[in-house]
Amino acid sequence: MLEDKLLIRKIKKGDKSALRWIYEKYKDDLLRIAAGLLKTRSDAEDVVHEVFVNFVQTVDRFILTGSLRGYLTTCVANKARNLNRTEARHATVGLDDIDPPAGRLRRPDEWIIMDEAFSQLCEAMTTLPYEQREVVILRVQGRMKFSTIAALQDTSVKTVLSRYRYGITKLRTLLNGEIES
Amino acid sequence: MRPTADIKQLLKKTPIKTNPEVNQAVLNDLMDRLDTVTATPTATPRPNTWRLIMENKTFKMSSAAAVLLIAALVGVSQLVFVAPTFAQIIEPILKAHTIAFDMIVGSEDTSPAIHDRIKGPRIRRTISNMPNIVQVIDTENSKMLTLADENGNKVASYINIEGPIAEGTQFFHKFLRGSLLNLKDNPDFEPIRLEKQEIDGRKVIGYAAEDETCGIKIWADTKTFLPVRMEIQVGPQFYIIKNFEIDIPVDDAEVSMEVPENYTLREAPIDFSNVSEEHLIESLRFWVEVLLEGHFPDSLTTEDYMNQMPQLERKLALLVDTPESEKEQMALNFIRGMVFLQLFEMKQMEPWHYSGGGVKLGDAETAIFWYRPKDSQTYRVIYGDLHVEDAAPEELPK
Repeated sequence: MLEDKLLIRKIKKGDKSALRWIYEKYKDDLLRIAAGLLKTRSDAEDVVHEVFVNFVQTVDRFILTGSLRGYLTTCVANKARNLNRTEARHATVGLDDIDPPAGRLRRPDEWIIMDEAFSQLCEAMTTLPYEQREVVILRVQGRMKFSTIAALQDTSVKTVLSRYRYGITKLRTLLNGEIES
Repeated sequence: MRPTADIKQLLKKTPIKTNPEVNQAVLNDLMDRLDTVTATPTATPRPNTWRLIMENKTFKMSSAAAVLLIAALVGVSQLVFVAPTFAQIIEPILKAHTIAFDMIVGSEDTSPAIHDRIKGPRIRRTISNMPNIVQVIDTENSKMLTLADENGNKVASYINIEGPIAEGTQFFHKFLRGSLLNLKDNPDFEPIRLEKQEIDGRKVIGYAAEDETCGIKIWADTKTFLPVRMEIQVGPQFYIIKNFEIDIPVDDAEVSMEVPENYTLREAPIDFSNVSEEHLIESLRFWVEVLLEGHFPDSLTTEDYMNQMPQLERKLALLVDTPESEKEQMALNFIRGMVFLQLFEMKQMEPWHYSGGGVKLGDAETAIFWYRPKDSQTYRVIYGDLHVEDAAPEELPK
């Protein structure tokens, strides 16, 4: 959007209020997406922080060609995927070394405050295969087009649609009681 | 409700809460990093714009076309297409003696259109979803004549629009010209050439431009260089301007401020010279109590107000126990509230926020609108029961 372009232009000139504006506008959505994609809260927080840091550090040569929301969401999705792959390769670490699942830990420096509803949602998400989880989150929370998600996952739109349907169906089963209440 | 929609709603609506202290700490970290980025010159000098352009193949082709243009000017060829510059496209608008266009408040071409016919300082305005009303605006004297024809009952009213409206934000043609002039005179201004495309069956070339206050896209006919369409973003508000007619005959009678013979002049003039927070609050009350059923609107923009205008009369008619004079005040305050909101929209970067969607009237705990008055360090926060409090920036709702 042009509004974001104007804000980016101001940030390039060092305008901190414009940076605050962008940060306030997108941080909650990005944290929500990251929390859904990653197994631990601290990973989600780190990823979103990193995305904002990268954005600021490269802002002087940053050129917005699409929507800023889409760009930041893609950054979060890419970092989350990389992190999940790395963790999968090092899956032999002891259980004590891993953060407890989101929602079971309270730290004074926690960024996301996990209440029951959000915690349940995140836990339900982690039961989906990663590709399905990614499609559901990017589509519903990231408002991305299926074709964009397909490009991101390097697969066909048909596969993405199928992952979306399976993901939604499984979530519906898992969260059935929650919805009915 | 379909189960899929339920899940989607759950995913979308489940709120995320964040720790305000960490929020601030992360923001402080980002701000510190921004200081470093903006204070440090880029290690590798960036090529200047001219060198980038010269290295660009498209430019080389354009250069060739420019040479051919000179040939065309001396009559060697009339067949070469040369893209008009941004200045050439906006020139007809800036120099027009008379101009007419359709303006849509919003991003949908199907939304209600304001049709303006402008001659000098006078505008004749009609609005597609209010076919029985004509407005004639005298921008020099900050006055508006409204002509309403309700089933043959023809009433004329003079409206005082001194103050913020007359200062330039309300009259879109002034704003339009002002914005274009600002862009043209802004040394940092760099229009971005858009892809050639077709609009309404005409081949057009376009430019995108932005400054501190607004962003504009403008397309012009490749043959005539006359403007075809503009899209303007000012803060959250989007406008489309199209169907331009430049230097068309506009009869003086069309823009006369005299009351036509067959109209009855309303005795008490209407005053829009002062709009304030109180009017915004009254207009919010009107939204909830008259237009919607106990809820605040999901969004609050000029476009939202414009879309409600045709319902005003019908909804007011349902208030059978309310005196007509009171109904009139309610309607006027509704419009004044819109004008007050427009002051924020037009200033673009003034911090303001609306989040009343789903909030019920009487909810004293939930903030629905906040803004920072000019030169103030604190914000004014309006709550769901329409009481107002002052708040420091760090006290604003998250």
